[in-house]
Amino acid sequence: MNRRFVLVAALALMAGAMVLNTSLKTRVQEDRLAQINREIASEQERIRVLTAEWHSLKSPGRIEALTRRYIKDMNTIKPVQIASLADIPDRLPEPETPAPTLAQAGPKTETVSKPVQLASAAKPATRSTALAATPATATSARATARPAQTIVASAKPAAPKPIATTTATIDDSASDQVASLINQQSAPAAPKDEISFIIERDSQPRQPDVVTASFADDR
Amino acid sequence: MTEAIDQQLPLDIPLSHAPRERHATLGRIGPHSSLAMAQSRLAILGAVSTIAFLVVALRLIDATMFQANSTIANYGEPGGAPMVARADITDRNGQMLATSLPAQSLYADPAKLLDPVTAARGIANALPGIKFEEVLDKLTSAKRFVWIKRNLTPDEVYKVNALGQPGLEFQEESTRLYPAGTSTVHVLGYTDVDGKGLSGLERALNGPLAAGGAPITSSIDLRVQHIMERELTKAIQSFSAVGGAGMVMDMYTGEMLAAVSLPDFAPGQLATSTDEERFNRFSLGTYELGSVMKVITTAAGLESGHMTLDTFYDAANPIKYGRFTINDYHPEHRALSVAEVFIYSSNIGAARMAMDMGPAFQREFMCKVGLCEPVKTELMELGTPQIPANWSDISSMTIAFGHGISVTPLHLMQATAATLTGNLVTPTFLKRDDVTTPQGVTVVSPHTVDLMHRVFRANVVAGSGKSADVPGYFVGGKTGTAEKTQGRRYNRDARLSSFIGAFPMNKPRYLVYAMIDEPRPNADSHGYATGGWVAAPVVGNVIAQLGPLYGMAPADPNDPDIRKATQLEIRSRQEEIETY
Repeated sequence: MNRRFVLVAALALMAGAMVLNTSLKTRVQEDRLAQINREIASEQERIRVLTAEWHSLKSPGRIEALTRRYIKDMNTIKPVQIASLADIPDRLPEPETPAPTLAQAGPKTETVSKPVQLASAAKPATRSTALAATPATATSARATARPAQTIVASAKPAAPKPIATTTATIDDSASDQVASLINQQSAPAAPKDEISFIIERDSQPRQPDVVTASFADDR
Repeated sequence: MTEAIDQQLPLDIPLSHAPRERHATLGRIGPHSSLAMAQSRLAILGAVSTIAFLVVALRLIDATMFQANSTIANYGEPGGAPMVARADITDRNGQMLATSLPAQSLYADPAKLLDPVTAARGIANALPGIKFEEVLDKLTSAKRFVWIKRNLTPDEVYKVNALGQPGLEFQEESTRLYPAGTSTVHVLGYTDVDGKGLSGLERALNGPLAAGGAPITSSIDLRVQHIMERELTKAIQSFSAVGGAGMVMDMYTGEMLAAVSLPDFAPGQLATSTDEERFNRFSLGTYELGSVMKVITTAAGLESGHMTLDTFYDAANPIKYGRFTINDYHPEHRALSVAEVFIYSSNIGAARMAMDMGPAFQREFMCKVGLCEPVKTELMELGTPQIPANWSDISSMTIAFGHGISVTPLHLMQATAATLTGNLVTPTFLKRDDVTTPQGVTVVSPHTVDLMHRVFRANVVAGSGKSADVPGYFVGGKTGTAEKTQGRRYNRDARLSSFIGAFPMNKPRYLVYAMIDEPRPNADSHGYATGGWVAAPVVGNVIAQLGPLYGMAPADPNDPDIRKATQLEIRSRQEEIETY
């Protein structure tokens, strides 16, 4: 009887303590919730104010006044200034001269010569078809109209069959594919310079210059 | 406990009456009585505490289950904000035109003030436009609540708080702001200090706006609105005019892309604005618009079946009718075809056309294109057309060239759009769905619509509207120069110069209108202040900017297909054929 009473009392006490604990926690959470909600409301208010300001800043009247003040030579666009792509005459390069983009791009001119070496050295048949297959399908439709670049991949005079597959016209997108293929081969060459440059920089003793000082201040 | 005491009393009363039995009674009843007393007290105690616990339990259920939501609402939920902000209004591209921002309003409780004089002096110093005496009157009044100033700036709030006077309190309110500035004021309107719409869309849509929620998208394109305002302002300044109105309408949907009435005012400066500035010239003001009404006369004539563009009317001499004389501004002194009447803007010819089709038909057609009743649009500032009660022959003749009838410029937009698309569509200031064909009710035949395109174009190529042309956009239009009435007479020097133009004329979609009120000839205009000199360049400039803005590539001026769709062969009596 007495022991049971003590047990019940202890349980009741424990339950009470837990309820009290939970209720206190709830109150803390509710306070936090209220705080966050107040913050959200005030942020939303600020967003409204800033949105209104932004819309007043980007109103056409203001932008126009600023343009007149700071961009002296820019006038209102006239209809005569509008043209469509079709209005621009198609200026094709002369057949003899290489396309200007290819002439300027150094790595791409390399790519022309390299596949030839690779193809003839390792696996002539598979490599050359792999190179030639995609460009051929890609350009078959417009090969005649566009400035084209010709790759003669394999030079095996004895085999008559590969001529059709290995000689292919490649347009810009196809030559990009070739370039990416070659870059995989010659990849280490270019990054090597960068790495060595970084190492040189790192190997030098650090100078307490202005830049580092300002970083230190930021931290 | 009082019940317990009451129950003891009957035990005592008999005792006082029988003192002798007292001992015996005590001896006999004693133990029984205390036991009963204890039992009853326990029962009462138990009942009271049961009731108390029951109350607590019920309250607990009530608080947790039935009032759960109201309790949470107290924790500053953003959704449960006590004040609903008035909804925003944006232009058709989402550029904000009107918004509501929280603002503080200052009020005072005079009973709490310790020193009204110091407080009044401080307020008068802190807030511009507030006079010391006025504040002092308010602060010494017997009321418990007096407004000092509504919608203070944050800086003003800081200054008032810095006074440190008790009894000065702030009420959080909402203030209406128009980030786009003044140009849209006649479309949007404005609200009073309590946020109630007083004019424009603010008034027309007060209910939905006050309910808050999603922004309302107006049909206005702020860029086009700005272009129109700028060009109109330039023309008004250049010709020293008193005011003007300009509109751009999408004829397919009836959407108003721009609607400007000048002079205007900043919505915040309502208190200092003049009646002239508050007057809406595009939808409220009714005017005798003059020759631009020949658009309607020509369309009506073609619809009547009494004439084609090649039908000739005698315009050699002025028409004398009673006390009226109808004359031409630029007399040609010969017979003119319908097309020439339009292009050379002959009043005599238009009057004869009206007589030919008959006043009844003319009236019927004009009512059909919406000129007999207020325009049905959202705005509440709508002018009622002044049309003659008795549509006599002479009124018919003057109406043919735009006198003797007063309509709003918005009426003209609606009616002209009907003659150029064939469909009457109600103008709207709210965004509608984009379409590829003209909406509305068909009121004009396709044949007439096609001829209207050609005379519109010919007027710009060869007639009075040359300065509205924009190469590549095939602008067409009609000029109008009306003399304003002063009392019962027309004043030659007070004119209303206007131009209504559309483009591209092979498939017109946008209608542009400009009206300048009382322009005076300037140094460059050779003494002219007519629609062709004043208003047509405004329309041309607007179209030259509107086209590129809407991604419309200018067409080749010699495009054979477009030329075929817009050209017009004009035969004059001498059998000379001119092609425009």
